[in-house]
Amino acid sequence: MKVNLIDTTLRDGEQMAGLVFSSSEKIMIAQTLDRAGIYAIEAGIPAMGKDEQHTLQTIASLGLSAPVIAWNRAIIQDIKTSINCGQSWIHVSAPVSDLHINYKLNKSREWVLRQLADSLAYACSFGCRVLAGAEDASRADEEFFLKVAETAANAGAERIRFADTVGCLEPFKTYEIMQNLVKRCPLPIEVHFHNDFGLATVNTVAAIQAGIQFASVTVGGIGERAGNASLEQVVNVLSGLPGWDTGVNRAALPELSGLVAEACNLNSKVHCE
Amino acid sequence: MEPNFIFIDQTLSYALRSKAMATSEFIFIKKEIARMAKVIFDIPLDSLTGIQGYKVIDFRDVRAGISMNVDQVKRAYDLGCDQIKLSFEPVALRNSLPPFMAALAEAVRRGMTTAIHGIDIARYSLDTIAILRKLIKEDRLAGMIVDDPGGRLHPLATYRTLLDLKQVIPYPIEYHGRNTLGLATGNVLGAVKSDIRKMAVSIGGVGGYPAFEEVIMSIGHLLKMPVSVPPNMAITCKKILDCMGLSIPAAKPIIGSHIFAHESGIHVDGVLKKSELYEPFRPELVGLPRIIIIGKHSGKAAVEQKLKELNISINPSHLSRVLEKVRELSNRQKAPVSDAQLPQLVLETAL
Repeated sequence: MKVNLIDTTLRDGEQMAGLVFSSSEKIMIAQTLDRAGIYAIEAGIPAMGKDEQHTLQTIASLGLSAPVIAWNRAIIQDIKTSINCGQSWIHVSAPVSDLHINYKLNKSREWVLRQLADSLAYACSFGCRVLAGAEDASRADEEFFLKVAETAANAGAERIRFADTVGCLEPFKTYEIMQNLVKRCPLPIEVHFHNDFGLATVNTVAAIQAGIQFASVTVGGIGERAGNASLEQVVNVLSGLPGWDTGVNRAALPELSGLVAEACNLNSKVHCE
Repeated sequence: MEPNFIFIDQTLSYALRSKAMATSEFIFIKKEIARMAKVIFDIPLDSLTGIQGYKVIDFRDVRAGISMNVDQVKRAYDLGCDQIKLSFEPVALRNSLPPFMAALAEAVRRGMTTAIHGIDIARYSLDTIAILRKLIKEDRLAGMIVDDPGGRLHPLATYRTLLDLKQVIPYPIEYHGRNTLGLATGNVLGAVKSDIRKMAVSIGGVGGYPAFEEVIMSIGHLLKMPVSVPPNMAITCKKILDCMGLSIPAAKPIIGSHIFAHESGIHVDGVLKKSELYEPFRPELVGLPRIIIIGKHSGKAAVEQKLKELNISINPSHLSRVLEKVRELSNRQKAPVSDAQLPQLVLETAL
């Protein structure tokens, strides 16, 4: 079965506190990911400012085989900004846990559904391909996640991201949740795991074993806090399990890892791994 | 009821393999690890006798790793070890039964607790297990170690295989996983789910074993089993690894110095409103600080908070321009904006 990996090194990866990729580094990483056979590249957040918009515009015009995705909050202005810098794949993220809806947004579930539907439909009206993101889905009510998916599907979304925003799932729970969601969700699900307990890769694998066909990863597992599921690890594990194919060329991984490590200025001295 | 986990430490064994260690260092690391959880230290006999001044060390919580040899059992006993790990080669078991049984008998005679090591989770033979069952009376054994030396299994397979093995192995099973594929902590959870309570770990995952800090936090916080998470684990683990000359990657789960560093606008805003929004547990739980970094991904809330910390007041209408300058500068210098640089940007904006 084909497993489609969406690399978010240039978006969530760069959100590792203190990290800045230069424009040329981002372009080079995108090109290298594409050559390695990655399914899609989440390249950044146009709403962050002119520099980022310019970089994303350049990456989107490289003619890569992989779709280049711009990340947006469910805010019309964010999406306008993305469209204005030539983005044709629009990811729209909205929080779906009551914790986030109540304490971060101070809004209601209905507000989230409306905001997401409006933002997706707006992007669609410009002919963009749209993807929905459900932030903090692992701490959300499952029925509400499905409601969000249904709303997103009706607004034109092609896929929904299930984000384990604070990395609080373990593989057995992941397997159980995904087995259920795969059957019931109106959209294909992309899983997105964080590594707070060291379980991002293993959760990704468990989700895939439960029938999920899309997963976000970052090179070297870089990302917020303890990072994300690592592209290299996920590809290596899946290559050892019969029946799955990521389409990523394993021989291209060392170059990619090196490139990103260098751009991160990661200290390559002895450490405990 | 307390499920009574026992962690089989591999940190010290790794430390002894990787560098010459002073007695005081060995004792320090051992004491720090033992303070955090109920632990048995798995160390090969030859490594133990290689420590300078080993005669003064208390080895009662050390399990000496020995091969099928009566003399080694005696040496472990003389060192003061109460327990041994007796390894055998499954392929050679039929030919090497006499020395194996002699070593086991010697350990039993001396009242030493013995665990048998040699079952590979990925390629065990039921014949070998049958032979062992026939030969060993249950009360002679503390347990049998099921090892995944290549770390090839994933959690579901680990769980199922261990359940199968429990049907044929009449002794308590101890699980030794590896992190070859990055699945170690998940695999330990699979072992826990199959009711195993003894597992190999190492601080920071050194030597390729499951990381102790990840395992204990996952058991407590994710499986929600009653296990006491030691306070200030990040600080203790750092002391131990420092002593071994190892540094901890900043993003290392549970113990990395930067796992509570936040920069992106949405995250900082969220954490300031309610920390659970973007933190899986409170930083104080492991003894780490929360760090707000100002840079390319910052939003207004973060800059406002940082200025407050620095006792700098600003006209609210200037905030957007300060933020723009923050992003420009961090892009230009390919690094975050320091506390020393931020006031300068505020000043430029006011001009």
